[in-house]
Amino acid sequence: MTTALAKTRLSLAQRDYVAGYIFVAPILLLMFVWFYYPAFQSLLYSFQEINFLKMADARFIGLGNFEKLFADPAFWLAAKNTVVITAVSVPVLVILGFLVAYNIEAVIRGRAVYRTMYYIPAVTSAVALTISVMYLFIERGEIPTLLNRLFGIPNVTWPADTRTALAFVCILVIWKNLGFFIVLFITGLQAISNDIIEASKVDGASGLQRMLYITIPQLRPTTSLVIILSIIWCMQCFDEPYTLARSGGVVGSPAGTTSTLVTFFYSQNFRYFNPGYGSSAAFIIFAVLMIVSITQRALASRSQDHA
Amino acid sequence: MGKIIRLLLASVMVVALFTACSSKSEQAATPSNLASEGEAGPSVGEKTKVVFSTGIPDDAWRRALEFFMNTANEKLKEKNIEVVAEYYPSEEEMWKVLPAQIVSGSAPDLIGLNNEGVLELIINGTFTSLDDLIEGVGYDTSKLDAANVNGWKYEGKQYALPLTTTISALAVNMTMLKNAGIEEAPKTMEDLVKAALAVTDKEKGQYGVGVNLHEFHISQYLHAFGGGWNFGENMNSEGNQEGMQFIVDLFNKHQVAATPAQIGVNGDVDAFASGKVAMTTAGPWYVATLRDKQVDFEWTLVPIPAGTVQKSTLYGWALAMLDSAKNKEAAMEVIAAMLGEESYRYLAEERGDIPAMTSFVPTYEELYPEMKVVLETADSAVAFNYPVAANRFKTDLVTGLESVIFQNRGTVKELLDKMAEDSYQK
Repeated sequence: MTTALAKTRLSLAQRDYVAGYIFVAPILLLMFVWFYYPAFQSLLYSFQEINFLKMADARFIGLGNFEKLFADPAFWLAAKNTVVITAVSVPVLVILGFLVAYNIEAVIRGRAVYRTMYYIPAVTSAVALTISVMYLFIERGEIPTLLNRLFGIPNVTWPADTRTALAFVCILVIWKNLGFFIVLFITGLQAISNDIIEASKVDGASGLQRMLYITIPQLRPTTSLVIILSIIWCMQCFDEPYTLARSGGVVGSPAGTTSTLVTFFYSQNFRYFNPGYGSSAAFIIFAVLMIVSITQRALASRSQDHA
Repeated sequence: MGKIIRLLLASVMVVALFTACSSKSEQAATPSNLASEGEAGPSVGEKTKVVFSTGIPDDAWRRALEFFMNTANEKLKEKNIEVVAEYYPSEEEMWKVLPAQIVSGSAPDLIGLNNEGVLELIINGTFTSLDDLIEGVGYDTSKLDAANVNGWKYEGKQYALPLTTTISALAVNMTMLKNAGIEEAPKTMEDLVKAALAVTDKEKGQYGVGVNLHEFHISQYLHAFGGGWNFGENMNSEGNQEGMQFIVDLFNKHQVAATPAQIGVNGDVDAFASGKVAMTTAGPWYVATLRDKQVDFEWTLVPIPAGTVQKSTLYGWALAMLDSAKNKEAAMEVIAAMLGEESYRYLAEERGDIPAMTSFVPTYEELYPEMKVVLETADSAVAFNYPVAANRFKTDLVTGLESVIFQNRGTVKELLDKMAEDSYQK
């Protein structure tokens, strides 16, 4: 053993270091092939004018794609819709996710049944889910009629009407993702020490006080994860508007009210054979997500330092 | 050191395993595995394999294609050529995957497609000109419908050979019209509005006209008013403005129209079959579908009503060869064999599509009398003539028109002026 060590001239720490790299090498290789290389290639595309059908004729145009992108009303409409989906869905996912998880944890009998029920949409295909939910929101159907009576929302087929289509996409996004976030919150709730809860009960804290002053602060890491994941998923919304277009119109129908940044990217790449322009849109999405993630992490760590 | 070597070996094995898995999954992801057991390639041993690809909307079409391919394989046995299939779930999916396949050199040799927006592929050199190859195999194109064959020409060169001919029509629910006191299907766009006003009852969810806001259906109204897309030239012509304004008026002024999505169904055929719309622009595929669905009302297909002129749209589904085809002569042999008399007979007798080989049209008319009156308009029919950047054009057209109709944003003229300025040449 001593001889072997002397031969390698590596310290124990160095050998661990090398072993670590060998262990992560396969995944790094896969990441390089499937993520870093395509991402780098995509970055190069964003500075070129390319016709997907004539890749050999690609030419470098500097920031031309980005200039065109910022002057494109279709891009801004897609960006606006994506912001609306994110702004509406993220708070609902966080608040509803927490409340449902909190109540499921309070239930003594049938807890597993509730968890499964809420989790089913998360494991259902987005296409199947979109088509099923579409049938619930048809003109003069029970839900549109009820919402018309209660709130005066037009009694129309929601996905086909320019006034309600985006709201319908938000409903789909929330419905699809809520189950996953409920499970995350349940995991977070189960990690809270029972001693703290018991101590608060001894101190005479009410249920609401326990939730506000113990549960919610203790759930900060989970909440932070839920916020960041829900922002990323909402910003990447694609399946729902894409599926809506299968029943008529084009991706983003009606009148572009369901177009998102990712459907914009998809259309440029795969419908208009324009990967250079599409890649520039992809990098804008990437940059926004990076800024959001970094900001959110900074805010989360600052609030943890203060706590 | 031994430990490190073992680790290295383990890592190599893991990488090898992943590589094997990824190449296996790549193979599984290609559509060929969905359809055929044979490996697609230029040749295996002595046999030359030709890969044929297309989108498959339904099982009936898959059966038809399998019949064409089996017939071709029988004929080409002696020449040691075999056609194998790669199916995509739909034409939309095909267009999503094909460009990447072309770039990566894994594209099929032949594809089946209709000529809505095919110009972009021809101009970009995706297809091979077939003229010399047709001569080489001695295929007689004069047996095919001349207008349809010409629809696949660009700058005098032939880029595909048609299997079917399609002519647009108006599907009419005669039961609804008769219940409203109208005995005849509309012949003019004025008749259409009158009939639509008579049958529309929004409380019952019943509409006069189903308008699928899709470029095919929009174009029918434009053609009826003497308009057309002219490959992107003069897109804001008077005929186009009148045709599009007519559609807008059906929704907003007369309030007699609904889209399939508004009714909550998937497409115009389902909208019509549901009995919720009395009329819709249609085509020959309606006959087989409505027969299959055994709808409980009287229906008919008539020529597209005249606005300022009576014009139908004529197009077809055809076989084209990709420029990347590995063995062009063998691929042309396959085209000729797939477009034999047996295939056109099958189309007329079994499938219910109008065969592009004219000698089988009388058989079709006999078996599908519903289309007879529509077929009579074929001589004056026009082609789509969409501009080069067809997909971008379609999106702008549909999104823009939806915006004018449903959001009252801008006018038809403003939309067409903007589109004319672009002209969609790249």
